[in-house]
Amino acid sequence: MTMMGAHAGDATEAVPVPRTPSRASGASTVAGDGSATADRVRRLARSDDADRGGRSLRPTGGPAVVTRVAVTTAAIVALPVIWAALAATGWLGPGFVGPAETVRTLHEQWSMIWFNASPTLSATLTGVLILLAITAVGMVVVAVIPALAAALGGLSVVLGSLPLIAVTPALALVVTRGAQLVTIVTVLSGLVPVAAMLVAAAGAATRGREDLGALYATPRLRWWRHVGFWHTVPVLDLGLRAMLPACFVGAIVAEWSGATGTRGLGQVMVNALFSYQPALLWAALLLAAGAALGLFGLAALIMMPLRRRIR
Amino acid sequence: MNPAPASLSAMEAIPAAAGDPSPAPPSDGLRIRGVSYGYPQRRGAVPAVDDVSFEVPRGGMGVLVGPSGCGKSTLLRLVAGLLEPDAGDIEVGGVNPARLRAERRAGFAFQDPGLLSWRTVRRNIELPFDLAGLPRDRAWTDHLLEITGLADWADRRPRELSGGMRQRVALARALATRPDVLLLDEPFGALDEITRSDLNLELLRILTDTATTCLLVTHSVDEAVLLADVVVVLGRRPCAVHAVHEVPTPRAGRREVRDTADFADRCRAVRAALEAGR
Ligand SMILES: Nc1ncnc2c1ncn2[C@@H]1O[C@H](COP(=O)(O)OP(=O)(O)OP(=O)(O)O)[C@@H](O)[C@H]1O
Ligand SMILES: [Mg+2]
Repeated sequence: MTMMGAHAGDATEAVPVPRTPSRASGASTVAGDGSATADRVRRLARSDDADRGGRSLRPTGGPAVVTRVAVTTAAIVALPVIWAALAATGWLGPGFVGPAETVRTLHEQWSMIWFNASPTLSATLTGVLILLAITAVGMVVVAVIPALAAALGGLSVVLGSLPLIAVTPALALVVTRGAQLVTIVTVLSGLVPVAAMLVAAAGAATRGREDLGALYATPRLRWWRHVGFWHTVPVLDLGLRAMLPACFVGAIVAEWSGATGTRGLGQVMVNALFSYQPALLWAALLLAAGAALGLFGLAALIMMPLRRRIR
Repeated sequence: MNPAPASLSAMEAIPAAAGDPSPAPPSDGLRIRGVSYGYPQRRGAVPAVDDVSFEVPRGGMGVLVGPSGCGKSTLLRLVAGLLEPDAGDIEVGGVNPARLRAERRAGFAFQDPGLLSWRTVRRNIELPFDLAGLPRDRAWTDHLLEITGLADWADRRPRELSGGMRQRVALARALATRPDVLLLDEPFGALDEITRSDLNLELLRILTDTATTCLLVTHSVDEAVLLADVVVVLGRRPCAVHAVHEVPTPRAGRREVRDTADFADRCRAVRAALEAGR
């Protein structure tokens, strides 16, 4: 470093610094060569340590993982306990089936319930894949043409106000009833969180662009690749977690309202209701709740590496 | 290298030349002439800069001092071409700010460092290369890491840094593409006295070696007098130039001059101008 070397001599002469051992982890690695540069770096590292006030490097804010897991587990356990207690009182009549009987029914009728639930799940996953593709393309498009975000906002309001129960029979007039129709309704029900996600993503993606992006005359797509996308990760994370369970609920509602005449978890629920088999209805409900929770977990899992990266 | 005119006495206070309309030969340093700017709002504009004129020679250091909220950051943004003046003109290195920006010849350390949490210190410093679509210059980044005392933190993330360290990353980032013009908005605000003065002198060295013209904002009068070839004292918002002080001390002697009576006198004069401009 000729630039440093030319002036380094006077630097150490003018400001003598007592050579106390440094606590900074980095400082020890430069100690010992006695050059002015190393001395300066050592001094800076020491001042960093002072800046930090001896704080540990672990980021604070938010409870520890153990506490979070404990609280979540307690919440999950509390729900069946309340459910069981409520069923035991009998206040809500014989239609309110307790967890023990529900689990027993789920176990006894598993093959029939799973036979019906699998197409619902596969329609959900197909819908999710379609929505992920829409999200991926949409994110790039709104990053390049931000004006589209406003149009998407309007679209999400319109879609959000459509009652799926009414839409399904109408769609059944043009699309053959079955897996295809269920998937379409599934996609429709996931579009609301996706559109909302894209609107928020468009805003997040341009954060800071008026400064650094403008300074280096960075094209929109390049900005998005290096900066914007990463700003949208929290939005994406929340959006996906909202979208996956919404799709599943959409698939059930579609089946419930006549999108399929043969199999489906929604179909089981309708049949159980109209043939008065409350235990079967609750068993189907339990499976649906478990699957929705699983999808939520899947979304969180998929996003974990990205979430970690931007922390 | 001493960019300030050597003929000046120890310090000369030059009354602000407000918006001189006569044509002038192109400047290869920084020239601001009669610049005004107001932030557009629904009910009229919020005036932030009012008829500001001053010059900084090529490779020189201009330092802006003035009360908080007077328009210093706005002035830097105007020079960077991030805002367009309502009136007046700015010339940097012989071109206007829009051209400067298009040619990516400016470096800017913003008041808020705005580091990217998912990038390491090194990758944050290299961000301008990615944004400008230029190949990364690893050796230069290494050098910047070294002179800012961040070499041992190169692979850490911003959340692991102190406020002062983040500011140093922002300074290194501003220098990454070896800009012709460097704009620094309170770059050393969160640093301790010793680190600050070390970095001050290091900055002068870089500017001298690379003939970079610099415009820096600070609230420290001592720092202003230590660094500046030209101290521009601004008044209340909308800021107008209250006084321009030229500091002719050669750069090589800046470290030694800090404890002299002469230095104290200059600081006193700038402080007095600041007081008067409030
Ligand atoms: N985007 C904006 N829209 C409207 N007004 C603004 C905007 N940015 C700044 N201002 C106003 O312009 C004035 C000057 O702001 P500026 O940030 O340039 O001040 P400053 O001198 O840098 O202050 P400080 O020393 O506190 O950083 C302030 O009154 C501020 O409220
Ligand atoms: Mg400011």
